[in-house]
Amino acid sequence: MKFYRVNALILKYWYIASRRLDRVLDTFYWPLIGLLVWGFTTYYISDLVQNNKVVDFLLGGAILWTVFIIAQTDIGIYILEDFWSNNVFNLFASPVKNSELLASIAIFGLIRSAISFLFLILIAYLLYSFNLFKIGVLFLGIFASSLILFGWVVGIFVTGLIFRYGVRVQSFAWTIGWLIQPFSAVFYPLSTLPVWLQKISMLLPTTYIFEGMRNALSSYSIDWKSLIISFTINILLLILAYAFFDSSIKNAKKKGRLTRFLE
Amino acid sequence: MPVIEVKNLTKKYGNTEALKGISFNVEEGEILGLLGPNGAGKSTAIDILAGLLTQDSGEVKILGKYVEEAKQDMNIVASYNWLTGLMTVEQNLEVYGRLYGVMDIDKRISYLLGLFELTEIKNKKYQKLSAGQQTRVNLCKGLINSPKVLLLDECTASLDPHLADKTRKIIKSLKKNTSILFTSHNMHEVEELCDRIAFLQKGKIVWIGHAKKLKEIHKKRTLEEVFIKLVRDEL
Ligand SMILES: Nc1ncnc2c1ncn2[C@@H]1O[C@H](COP(=O)(O)OP(=O)(O)OP(=O)(O)O)[C@@H](O)[C@H]1O
Ligand SMILES: [Mg+2]
Repeated sequence: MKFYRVNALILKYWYIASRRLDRVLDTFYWPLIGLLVWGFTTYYISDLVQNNKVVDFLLGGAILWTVFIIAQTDIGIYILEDFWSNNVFNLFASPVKNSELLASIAIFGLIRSAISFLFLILIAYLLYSFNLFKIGVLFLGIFASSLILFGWVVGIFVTGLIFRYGVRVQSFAWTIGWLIQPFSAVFYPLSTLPVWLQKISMLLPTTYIFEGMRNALSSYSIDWKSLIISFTINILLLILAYAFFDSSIKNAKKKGRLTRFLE
Repeated sequence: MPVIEVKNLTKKYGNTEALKGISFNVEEGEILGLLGPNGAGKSTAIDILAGLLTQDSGEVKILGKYVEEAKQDMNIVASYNWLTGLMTVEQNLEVYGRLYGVMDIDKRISYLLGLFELTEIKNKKYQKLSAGQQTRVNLCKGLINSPKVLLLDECTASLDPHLADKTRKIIKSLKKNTSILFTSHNMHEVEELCDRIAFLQKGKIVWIGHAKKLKEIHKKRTLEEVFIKLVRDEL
């Protein structure tokens, strides 16, 4: 892995992002809209149920979910950009390694989700006096890291799908994250789910993070064991996703999918 | 040692046999023209050499190395592939310059932009360029790393006569340091540029050698006449 090549690609994403209004909207506008909807709904509900923990839980869930979704979508979208502009050919003719390609998008996604994250924390504080930092910078950092890591896992998997099946599967890049949201205990505790679904949820690293967040917000304590489980699942899935991505590229080179525009 | 060494290369796409075992070498400072009718397998061969396509069997060595290890010293220009549309000419070249680890990037870029008469439009988005302008930016990208091996697949498509002529001169001047594999359907161009030609038909090399010799064998005045004869005889 050569850092100057990773750098070159990050520079490219920056050039593209700074020219696309929709990328700016992705970073600020859509997350903000999400937060506003949740914020006002939450206030209404907390009045109804006379419980101000509701605000903390739902806003905390909405903010952390954004961290995951941005890290995840970025990986697919910046690869797709190369397909849309028919640039995959030149990219793969260059000395770029698969690992460099993924590292560059992962880093770019990390920066972008960190910006959105801090922006949302600020807005939530200004509008709803909700300070997510009250669970502690360290814990928040750990939660966010696990979510970003899982965002990469899902993003790398989607990218593998795109190389294997072409841009006709591109909508997964935006939608796949939302498919797992209901099972990640983002806005409600794991115990709300039927028992058989809980078992599925416990395979997702996200579940442990949102459970952990609620725990931290209500009792300011951390269940280290569940965090370790979350990171372990992440690492295992990351290895699998990378292997899938790598084999998808090999498959694409065999089938000639890097040389012709993909349908 | 040949700079490009190709041995018994085969490639099938499903049921289509695109390459049926081709072998050839390109020597240092040589331009080899790969000729043949549409669908003969020229682009398939070039894409394999560029590391974009995996062969079914056979071996490719470039500068004595496998393609993956040689990419730093190679480059490719193919008419059917573009750079990033949303980025300017200069940004595209900067990114590729960095990917290839070019030392003095700014200097290299301004030299190439000048060479291909692109300096005035360097801040234009690539997607807004005319076809011929895009072709020239692609050529700049292909030369950004001063490659020792250059693969050119119909790289002069859509250039006007003035620029096509200029581009041929540029390609010729590269010969000192660069070995080139060249495809084109412009026989005039091929005769002017190529030291040797390999004639590909239905995935096989049916003839390889000097254009002059080929014309003698077939008793034709121009390469174009030979091309037409070879293709029509086959039908
Ligand atoms: N990705 C692909 N999938 C399936 N078939 C392909 C693919 N690429 C090329 N082919 C087929 O392989 C054969 C060789 O194609 P190739 O593009 O190498 O020809 P060529 O000599 O470059 O032709 P041209 O002069 O038209 O550029 C053709 O029959 C073509 O249809
Ligand atoms: Mg071709």
